[in-house]
Amino acid sequence: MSTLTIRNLAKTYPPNVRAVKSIDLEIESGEFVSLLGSSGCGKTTTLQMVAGFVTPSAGQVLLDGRDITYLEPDKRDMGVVFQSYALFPHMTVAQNVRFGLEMRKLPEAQIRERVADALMMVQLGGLDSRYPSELSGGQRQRVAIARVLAIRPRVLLLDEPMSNLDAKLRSEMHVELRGLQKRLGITTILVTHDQVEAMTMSDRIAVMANGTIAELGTPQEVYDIPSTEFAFNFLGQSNTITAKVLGHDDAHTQVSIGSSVIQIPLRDAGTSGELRLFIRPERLTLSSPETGIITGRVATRLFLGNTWTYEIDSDFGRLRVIKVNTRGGQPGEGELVGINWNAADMQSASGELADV
Amino acid sequence: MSDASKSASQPWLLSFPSLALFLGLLVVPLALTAILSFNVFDSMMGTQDDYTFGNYLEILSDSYYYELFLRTALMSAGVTLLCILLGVPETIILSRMQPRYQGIFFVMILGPLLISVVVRTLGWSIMLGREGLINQSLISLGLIEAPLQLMYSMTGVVIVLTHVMLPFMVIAVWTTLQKLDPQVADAARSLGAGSWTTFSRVILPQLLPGILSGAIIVFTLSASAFATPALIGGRRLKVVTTSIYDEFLHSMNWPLGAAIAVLLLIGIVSVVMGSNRYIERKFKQVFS
Ligand SMILES: Nc1ncnc2c1ncn2[C@@H]1O[C@H](COP(=O)(O)OP(=O)(O)OP(=O)(O)O)[C@@H](O)[C@H]1O
Ligand SMILES: [Mg+2]
Repeated sequence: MSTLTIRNLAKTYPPNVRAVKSIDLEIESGEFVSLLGSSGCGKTTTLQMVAGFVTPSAGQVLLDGRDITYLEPDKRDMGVVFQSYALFPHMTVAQNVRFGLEMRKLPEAQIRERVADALMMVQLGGLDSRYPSELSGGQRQRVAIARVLAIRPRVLLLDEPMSNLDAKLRSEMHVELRGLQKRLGITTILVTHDQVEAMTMSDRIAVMANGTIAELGTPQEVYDIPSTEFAFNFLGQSNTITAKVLGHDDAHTQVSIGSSVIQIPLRDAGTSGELRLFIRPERLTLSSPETGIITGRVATRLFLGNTWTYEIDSDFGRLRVIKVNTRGGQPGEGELVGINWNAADMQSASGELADV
Repeated sequence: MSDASKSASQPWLLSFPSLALFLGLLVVPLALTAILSFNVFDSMMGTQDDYTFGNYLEILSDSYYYELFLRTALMSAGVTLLCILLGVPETIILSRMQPRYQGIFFVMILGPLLISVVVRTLGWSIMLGREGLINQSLISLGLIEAPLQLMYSMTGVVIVLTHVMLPFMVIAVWTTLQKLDPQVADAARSLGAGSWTTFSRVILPQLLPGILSGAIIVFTLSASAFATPALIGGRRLKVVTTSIYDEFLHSMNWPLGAAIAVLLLIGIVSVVMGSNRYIERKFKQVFS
């Protein structure tokens, strides 16, 4: 339907708050992209510039190749779901959903049909004549979603639209919203700080930090092979290990950690000195001490139902290991264990977090 | 003393000082006025101890008093309307200003309340006179040929009352405006509403409770205003309050004056209660 291009977008609030430093993003027609990042990193500001509520300090927003950077919000045909819902408090649920359709001057019969459809999609049938003050937080959020789905916008902008739903309803809405978005083919940007939400719904994830995009790729790419140290630590968990580079051969780089020497996937031949390595806790496996690449002693273990989380003191420092809760013995606290991994899983950051 | 009896008497004990003040300063004088309004008045011997409905019958059977009350109601309604028309845009402009200017303009808006009524009204009578600033400006601009009769006229009274009452409207609307979520207006814009539609269909309806409560304050204060109608309206333009004053101090007919005062009070209270009930019914669901 519509492609959205964001070029060098930046926003500086007076006097000197650089909320967004520089964002470059190309979103294909029908694509679902998440902006994921911690609080205050500029996600909402970016979204508001795309929606036209905040005037950018620099850069451009293009919709299907047309420059809309300074276009009025009501001319953009974008549906926005706000962090605070922003429902019209003096209108009933049905009147809220109708509003956008009335603005588009659709015939009454069509308006009724679309309102009913939209409320059905978010499972709010029967609450048409309630006022927002008579709804629960989750219901309000769903009215806000229905209100934008009803207008079938060219672009859907969602600012943490599911942060107030309970876990079950949220995962239902994830599936539901993603299904709708695919069926209607609406180009979508979702702002969230919920990793699971970003991973399950998105075609691509843009991990934001300090007003820039630190990492951009499919959910697997940003999780499995991130390029920045920030992303290793922000997405999921990582063990950070400091290693000394010894040398390189055809396929590997040799590094020393503590008293051990191990091989990791080849780094630039120029790399020397210290190197920070990252490995996910679930990529470390436990074995008997004799068969481990290194050994360690269990400091603590936590039971999480489907998994165990181990903290193990080893030559590499304290390592976190996540082990699926399988049948059979689990090593106890104080026990000596062997730790193994696949050489390819010991990664290092190839890029620096741009500090614009 | 048991806990139960203690907790039952405690609220009364605690509110005793304010209750005493309320009773002494408001209820007692009002009751005395009400009683006075039923006393018989004799033009030779003054107020008598006998009771009668005569004062009320005199008012209700004389078209002069109907005109008087109607004039007062129209004056108050006019002031209220002007305060809405001026106050709402004024407050919205004020809310969009940078904080440092907001402070300055707030003081300017509240200004009329900070100045003594006598000084303010005398100032206005200089401005409104036949040779006054307003008439002279209008004549030199070529908008009018002969000076307008502003002093001792309804126009003048409404202008001056609007000046004093405006702050009450601004404060009432301001309080409501501060509670609005600015993103609601953004939502309307993104749903395709232009700025005018956003104002009329989204912002204004949300301001309505504030506007209505401001209107009640302005209406009641205008209807019971005395100094401005007395000084600007003069003896030619009587309203209810000035005629009560006349009955008390010129005709010395205290019972009749008291009866007019009681009727004014009833009129104002029923306007307030009526609009309150209307507001509650209309907005209960919306802003609970
Ligand atoms: N109107 C404003 N004036 C000044 N600074 C602002 C303004 N709006 C946002 N900021 C600042 O810009 C930065 C980014 O804000 P933004 O709302 O985009 O964060 P966010 O990523 O959406 O965070 P959250 O996850 O908490 O919603 C913050 O440091 C914030 O304090
Ligand atoms: Mg935000």
